[in-house]
Amino acid sequence: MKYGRILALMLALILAASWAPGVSASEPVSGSAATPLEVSLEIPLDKDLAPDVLVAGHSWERARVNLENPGTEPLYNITVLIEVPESLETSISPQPYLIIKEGQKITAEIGKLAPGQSASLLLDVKPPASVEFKKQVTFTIHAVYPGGEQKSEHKVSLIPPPSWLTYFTILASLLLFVGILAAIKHSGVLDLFSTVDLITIALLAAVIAVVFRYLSKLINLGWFDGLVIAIPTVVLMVVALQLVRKPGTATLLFTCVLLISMVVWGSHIMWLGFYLAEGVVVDLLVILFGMDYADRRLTAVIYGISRGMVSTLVFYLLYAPVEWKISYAPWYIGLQLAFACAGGLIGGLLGYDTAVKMSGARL
Amino acid sequence: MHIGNKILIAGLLGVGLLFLLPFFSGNGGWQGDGIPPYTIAEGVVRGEVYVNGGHGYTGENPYLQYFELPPGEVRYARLYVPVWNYDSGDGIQVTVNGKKLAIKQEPDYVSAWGTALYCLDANNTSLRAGLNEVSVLSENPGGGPYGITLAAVSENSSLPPVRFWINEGNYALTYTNKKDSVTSTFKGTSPGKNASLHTLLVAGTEGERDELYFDSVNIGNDVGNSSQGKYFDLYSVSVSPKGTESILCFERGDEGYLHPCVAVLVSESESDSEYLKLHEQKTAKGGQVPFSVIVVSLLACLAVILRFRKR
Repeated sequence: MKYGRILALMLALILAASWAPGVSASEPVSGSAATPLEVSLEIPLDKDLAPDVLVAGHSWERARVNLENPGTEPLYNITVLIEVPESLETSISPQPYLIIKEGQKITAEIGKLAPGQSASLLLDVKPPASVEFKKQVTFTIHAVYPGGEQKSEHKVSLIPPPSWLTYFTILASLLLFVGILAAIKHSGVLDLFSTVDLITIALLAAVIAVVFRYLSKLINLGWFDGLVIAIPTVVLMVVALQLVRKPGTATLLFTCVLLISMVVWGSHIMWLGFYLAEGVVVDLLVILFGMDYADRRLTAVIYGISRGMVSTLVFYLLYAPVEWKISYAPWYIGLQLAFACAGGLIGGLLGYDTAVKMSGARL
Repeated sequence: MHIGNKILIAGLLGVGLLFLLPFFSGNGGWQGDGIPPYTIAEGVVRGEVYVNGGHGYTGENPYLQYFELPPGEVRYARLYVPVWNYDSGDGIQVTVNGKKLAIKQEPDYVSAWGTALYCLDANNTSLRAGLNEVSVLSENPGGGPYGITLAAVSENSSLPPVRFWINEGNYALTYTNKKDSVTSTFKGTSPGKNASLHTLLVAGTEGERDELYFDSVNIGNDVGNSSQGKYFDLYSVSVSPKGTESILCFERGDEGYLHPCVAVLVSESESDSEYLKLHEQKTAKGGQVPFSVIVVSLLACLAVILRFRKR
């Protein structure tokens, strides 16, 4: 019955997330509805990414200029002139239209568009290697045809280069790690962990880093992959907290996960900050709740959800732009956040029950 | 039944399931090192060999690419669709000039964590001289095409004969499997002849320096630099074979991941007699459960057993 409620809750969360704003939203269309020709620009084309945002230092991104004749009369001899912002490099690949590129100006002969007919032009756009601050650039699109002319502007944000952010992230991660090591040495926290505690943590970390990560590649549930893996991860985290019962257990657990991942899968040291963040937040909550090592169902759930939220936000808001120079759409981040919370909730509940049954299960 | 025994049984069943999973899931997890590019087609044709493609991972679906084929009749054509994040159950549908060419559920070559290459014969399609539209509709949550590449042999009697080799495969040069180089061989080359080489690599990153050698001569540095789009490089360079067998060597260098997929060599021909020879396609060895996963699973299983024996 209890698990039935958990399942129902999980489904409700997933359904709620599926209806999050933007999931089914159509792309914005620039230009006035009163004009006989509708012109819009899409960049990037990946619906999961933030629209009209380019990360500096990124490779080529494809853009699409859409033209549609929503009227009742055909439009003839349509010519489109695109003025590309100075800071962007463009490339034009062969297409069914005559396209001429001169510097930052691109001219395309579209020809006739019947009522309801549409046409698309493809451009490859490369942002600059770096920009000092976030800035907006404007694509100006002129569509000219006998008896009419339309001009529309399309603003695109250039996000600062991840290069300095990369270095900052690495430096911050290392400083945080060194600081934590110094604090641990100074406070003698590590002495609190017995050999059995360390073996328990290492074993649980190995299961997360090796087995769960391997299983994650066997599962093909698309967006739900993260949810499926978050649940057992939180279960083991709660088990570790209850079995070891020492301050810093979660941080040590997730640090071990990274170290094992580095050895087994070749993970980059840059991910240290990511793993530390999810561990530190749980350990801080343990202290905040008066050294409650997920001893109550509620705290187990809070720890699971907090870990999910922090890891998701750190991943999508920091690591994705830094590592892959990708800026995800807010709705997509929200969706993943909902999944992470659902995973934390279910993992917390299951982890609590598992840990209670395994109480005294130290090796 | 005692609660402890239930947990023990559940644990053992879980471990058992872990070992059975790969058998049910087919190409899951680490999917092996892959196959070095080998010759799938070769011959002599009076005409030209067209190799082009683009445009990097963009997340668009369907993925659209245009190819402007030279004048002449297409005698042999092979379409290549490298895909990121392939998992069992994913597939693609390829359309050429509005006509459905194929629906492929399984890639021809897959390696590493699911970098896959779909290869499609496009000889008897609506491919023609001039502009052609190729569209790939992919069913691949969280992934999609890196690009579309076309290698087409066009006959044109007004042109001199050319000798060509089309090599295909998908080999994972990664720090994970510690593979640092791979070679691809072209047999029957003519020493000293002028030739052009085209290589398709995916997953290369700008700034991570790799190297490319042809008959031990360096012909490119940081070739995998996402020059034609995200993680997609189609590199073309003039070369000259040194012997009757030429070897193309991809050196990973600093690249974290680099997948050489296609290599096409087009050379001046010594012979006027035209021919087309197609080779049998090789099959990649499927992925296996990594040793580390087995060890950790056994250790976890042992810990559970020890725990309940102690009780």
